[in-house]
Amino acid sequence: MNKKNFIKINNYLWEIPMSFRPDMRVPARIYASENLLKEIEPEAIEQIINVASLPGIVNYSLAMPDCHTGYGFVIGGVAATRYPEGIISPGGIGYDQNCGCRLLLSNYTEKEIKPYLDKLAAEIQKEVPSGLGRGRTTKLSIEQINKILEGGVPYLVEQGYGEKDDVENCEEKGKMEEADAFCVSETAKNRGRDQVGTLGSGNHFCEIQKVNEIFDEKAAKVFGLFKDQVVLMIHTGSRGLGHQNCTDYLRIVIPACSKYGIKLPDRELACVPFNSSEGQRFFKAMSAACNFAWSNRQMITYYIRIAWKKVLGFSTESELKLLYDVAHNIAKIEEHEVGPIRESEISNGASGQKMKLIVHRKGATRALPAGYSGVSEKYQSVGQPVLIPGSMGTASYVLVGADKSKEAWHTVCHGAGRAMSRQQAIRTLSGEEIIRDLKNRGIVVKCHSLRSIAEEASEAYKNVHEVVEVVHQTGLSKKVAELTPLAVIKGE
Amino acid sequence: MDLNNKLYKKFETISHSADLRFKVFGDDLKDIFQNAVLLLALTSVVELPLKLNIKKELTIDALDKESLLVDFLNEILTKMQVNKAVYPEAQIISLNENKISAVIFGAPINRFKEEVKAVTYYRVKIKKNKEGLFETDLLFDI
Repeated sequence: MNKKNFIKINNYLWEIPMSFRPDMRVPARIYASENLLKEIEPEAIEQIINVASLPGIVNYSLAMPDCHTGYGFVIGGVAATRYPEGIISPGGIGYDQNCGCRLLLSNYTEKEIKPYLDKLAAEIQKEVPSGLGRGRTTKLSIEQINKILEGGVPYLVEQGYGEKDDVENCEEKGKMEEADAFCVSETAKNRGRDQVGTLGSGNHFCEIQKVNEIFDEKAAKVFGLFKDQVVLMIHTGSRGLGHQNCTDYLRIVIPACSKYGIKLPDRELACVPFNSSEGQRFFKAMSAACNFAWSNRQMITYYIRIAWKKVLGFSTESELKLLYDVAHNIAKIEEHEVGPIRESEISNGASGQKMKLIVHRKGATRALPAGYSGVSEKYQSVGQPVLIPGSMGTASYVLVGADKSKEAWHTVCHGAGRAMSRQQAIRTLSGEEIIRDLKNRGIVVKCHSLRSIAEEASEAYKNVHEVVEVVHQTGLSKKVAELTPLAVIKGE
Repeated sequence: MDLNNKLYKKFETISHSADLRFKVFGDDLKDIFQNAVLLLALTSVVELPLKLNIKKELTIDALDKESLLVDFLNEILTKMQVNKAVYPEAQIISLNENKISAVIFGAPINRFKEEVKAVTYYRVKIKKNKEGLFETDLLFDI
């Protein structure tokens, strides 16, 4: 695979035509600048092409500018299949079902928080464990887990673990209706019993950040963002319950492929028709795990609010409001305009047709424009907030969904995207030096392991500004604010 | 233990941008399974426990030897997570391409170094290499 195999659609969009490989059912398209395109590993491109061979795939196999090699599906990929006979694939979502991000807004400025920063970070680290050592001290019963699996965030809010806006400002309002706890194994439930309200490891984190720059005053105002405001970002997913759920269903789906005559270049692409019994059970189980992930982020929010008030007092000033919560590993049934897909057809005035699709997002974020159902009432006039976490010590972004995103099933990137392997990062970067550098820049770091600091160093990632610029320039979404870190917290 | 120690080459790391990828070697199928069990334990904790005082019996059926290896390791991973323990050793009672019966030995731990989310099926292919050793790729999602 080299540059001559790509057709340049525009400065930020590249296509690999169906003629490239006989098993491709649709072309593959990558959103990237010329520079970022060069950085994409050949194996990642092969994975994007493999996805183009899946039964029932519609229009394109898509990849975002942060894409990098995964296992089976590329990370940073989007694939929509026809509903209800197209395929659903556990690997198209990943093991961490509904890994995602949420952003909490404070009423304070950086200057006001600075004297309390270290104490706040220490208290949050204490309240929100990683789960790698001790889990949470309370171990939920299977009955409680079932309620979370089916009730999601609304159930927790009813129990007093949040407020009404926590439901309103969450993708799917924190609950996939299709969830069925009966479809999730007892083993998966057991793995989740002491993990509700834990961060996990790897690139999962809590960060205290400040609003460094506002790009879109109107959207920022609707979102409640202002310059120098202190905000908190949470990045985690469905923990062991989701991991086990994916493992359980791959063991069902892999042998079922042959039953449906599905031949695949890799087992991690294993899939079944959505309307098959296996497909239906998986979708209900995945929906339940997604509810578990939203609940995990909700409980982390609950514990962070406790920490925040412990340090800053119990006045209304110290309240933390949820801006938004978005998933970046998920499959959902959504209605989209399908076709025309060729530029010539579009210029001839051909219009698309509304169709239900099974949209897989693996390391990719939904980004709905203004006026779409699915956007919270509060954000209807501007569009859905989109949260893009950056690499450690760099910037994160708040974007807003824009009309052009319909060509990508209303999807954008999910982060900076890794550029260096973890082993290489450990070999070449020093955790101690990175902490020293962050401290010199006034950033507080609370992390148990020096090794994970090295693994997650910004040098191991692509340039988040360049990645975000691609989705901004293509019009898939628009920049609203840049956030920079004040404290990085990785859990005890 | 150095994962890349050539004198003790049971496995070696392969570059992967997001996850942990290895090549596992063995004299035979049994060896591959035992070395992969050790690799999973070494990836998960800073130091292996000296005394292995937990014993668990496992029997797994699968489509073929590749699925069998992945399913076997995922079963051990589940036990690790649920019991907060690590299992570096496996005594294999019987093994063919579709079924394994084994006893795994482990010990409780205070903390995982790395949380392996799952052992994936990605590019797992057990085959004989030019040196006459069996080998396979193995990728842990972390």
